[in-house]
Amino acid sequence: MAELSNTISAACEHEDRKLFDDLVSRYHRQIYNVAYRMTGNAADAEDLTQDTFVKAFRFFSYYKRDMPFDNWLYRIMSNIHVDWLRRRPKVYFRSLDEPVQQEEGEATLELPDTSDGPEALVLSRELDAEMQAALNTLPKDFRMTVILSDIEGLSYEETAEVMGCSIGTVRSRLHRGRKLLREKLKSYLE
Amino acid sequence: MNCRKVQNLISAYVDCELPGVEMLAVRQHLSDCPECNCEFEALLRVKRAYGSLAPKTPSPVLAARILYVLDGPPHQPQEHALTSPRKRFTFFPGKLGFAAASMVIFAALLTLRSGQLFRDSYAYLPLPQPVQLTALAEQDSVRLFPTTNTMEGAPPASRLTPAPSGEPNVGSSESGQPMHLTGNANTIFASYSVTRW
Repeated sequence: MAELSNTISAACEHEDRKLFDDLVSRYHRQIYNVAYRMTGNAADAEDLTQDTFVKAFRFFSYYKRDMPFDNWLYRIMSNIHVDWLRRRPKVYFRSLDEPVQQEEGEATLELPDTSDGPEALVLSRELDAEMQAALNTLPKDFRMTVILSDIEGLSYEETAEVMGCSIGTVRSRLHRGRKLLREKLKSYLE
Repeated sequence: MNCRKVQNLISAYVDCELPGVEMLAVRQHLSDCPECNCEFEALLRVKRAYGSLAPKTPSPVLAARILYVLDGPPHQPQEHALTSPRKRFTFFPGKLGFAAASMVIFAALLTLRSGQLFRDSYAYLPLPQPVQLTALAEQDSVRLFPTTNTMEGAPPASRLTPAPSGEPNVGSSESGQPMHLTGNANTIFASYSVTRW
């Protein structure tokens, strides 16, 4: 009887492991994208993604099917990132208006007009970098709210569920985050 | 609806997350207020800019790396969600509970043992017995001196008469006959003090 029970447990365990492997293959790019927007660099994003899936696997039995799996992963990632920020020292962010040291002297960072053309891809990458830099200056709660709502397209209700706060808090954080980003990117967006 | 209230609702209006009545009211205000309308357009540009960012792609080996970490090192037991037992609440965790239980048992044993010894020591104490005072000769006579707390009805010490057989009480020392004083020791010594010369 014990052997039969062990066999069934092993079979369930094997099936669940297969299921989780499939979920990793399906969601790891999406989770990585959010992790990159949260951390601002590829190396940290990969570490954060890995830690998220490891923790998700560890607590897979606690996952409730009423929440989308990616939202559940976002919640885990948000908590892990908070722990990271508590343990790691603060990172220095360069201001967009800070002059750049060149051989000819100092020069301000300027971006050309983002019109359609062959240079569009390169320009979009530079703009992406500046937008990411602006995003990095936001407080972590504002940043996560903007990422989930504007980048991932979650509703206020879904964002509130992921972050464990009220819809009113989501609205407030999103509004204040966007206003800060607007000030940072004023010269590029207007 | 005034500008201050509309300013707080603009982001929700951008996301269409307001109730229908508020949506209409904000729209009406924006059509009449250039300043608020300018704020609305700026926040809308921010939302669209971040919404149009190209997704970041991970390295091709990231998924394999995650699966490798989930497998764990070969020499360590694998930890899986199904087989990992949930941590149960324990009243006394681990070693601390064992040490506390050992101390309690040891103290209980000591208490029982000391109690047993106490009872055992009392078992060997003689029970109060009636005291017999015997004066065999004059030189070995026992003088009985009355104390200040002479019991009422008790005969004076100087007069001791032989006790009839089977009856308690006093006997005389003058006759030289042995005197047998029987009775409760507490009663006798309450009335007399005894000195052997």
